[in-house]
Amino acid sequence: MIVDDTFSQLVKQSLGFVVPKEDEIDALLADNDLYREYGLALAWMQDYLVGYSSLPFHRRTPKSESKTYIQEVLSSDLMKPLVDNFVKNQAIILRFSEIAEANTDSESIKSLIDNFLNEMADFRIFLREAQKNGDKESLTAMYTKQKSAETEAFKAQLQWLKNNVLKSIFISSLKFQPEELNELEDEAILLPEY
Amino acid sequence: MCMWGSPFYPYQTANPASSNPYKIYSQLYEPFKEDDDYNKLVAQFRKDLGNGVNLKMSSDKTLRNALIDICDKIEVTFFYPMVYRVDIQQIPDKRKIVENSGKIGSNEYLIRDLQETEFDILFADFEQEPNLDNDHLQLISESISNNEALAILEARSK
Repeated sequence: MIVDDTFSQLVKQSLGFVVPKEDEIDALLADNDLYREYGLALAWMQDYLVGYSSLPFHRRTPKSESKTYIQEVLSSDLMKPLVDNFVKNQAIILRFSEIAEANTDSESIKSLIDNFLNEMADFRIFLREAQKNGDKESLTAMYTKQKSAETEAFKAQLQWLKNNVLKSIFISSLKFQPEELNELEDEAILLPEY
Repeated sequence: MCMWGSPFYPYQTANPASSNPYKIYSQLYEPFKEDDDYNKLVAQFRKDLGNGVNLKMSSDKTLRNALIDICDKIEVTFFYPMVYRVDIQQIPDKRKIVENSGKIGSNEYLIRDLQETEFDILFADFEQEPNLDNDHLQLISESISNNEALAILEARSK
């Protein structure tokens, strides 16, 4: 397996928009005030990132202001049920911002940011629909799909570690011959399949 | 009402797509025409308008929440784009504020105190748009009160 493929998949999954968990979705749909504030918070997050994106979204406030509003929302008691999700997404946008500042011409960073913003926009649209009709099925499906994609990317990464890094260690440090490793692998001694 | 001020060049403008009125117009007209409630740009406008309300209305929480909910739930037909023509040469420089994306390359101004005598509607064909109705006409009339406007907007935000 090519390193770039597994790595980029893992990065894409770990830097995608973090969809709220089922209990968080329930909280959002049960409390109109929480739903309202969470929506505004996502809009500030988007505002923070649009300058690095190729999507036709428009920045409304300077980045520093967006950051202040994000911090304000995060410190509000109302947001407590969603604080875990909010902190995870905030960490991602800050990371994106740092990477994008250091790599201003990087198309791959732009693409990752576009992916994050697209996923966030999709979630907002589904959330709005669920809030209107009381049906959370599309949101839980989104969460399940994300979890499953994360698991697959993680498995692929472990497989890559097994195929590359661990074999190198066995060969260089433990003086195994490649064919001996194949025998060990056949007998599932090295690492189980994931 | 969301007002966008920038020279209306359809091609090779200095502005990026996100600040190009020609592109913004088409991106809003399409979901309006198709009654597409899943459009991402409309979704963004909903939240941005909500955040605008949030910044301006911090003293009256009830009205603030009602307006943010309207921004979130209002029918997509209310995002019908209108083009206004402003003779920018007639506006004194001190009233032409450069903010946000205007500071990073976009050719655009924010005019906070634009008077009715300083612009005309270039096109907004209410009569030819079957999706627009009497509510829209009432909302842009001068005689409507704040409470009447709020009642119309809330009725269309279910």
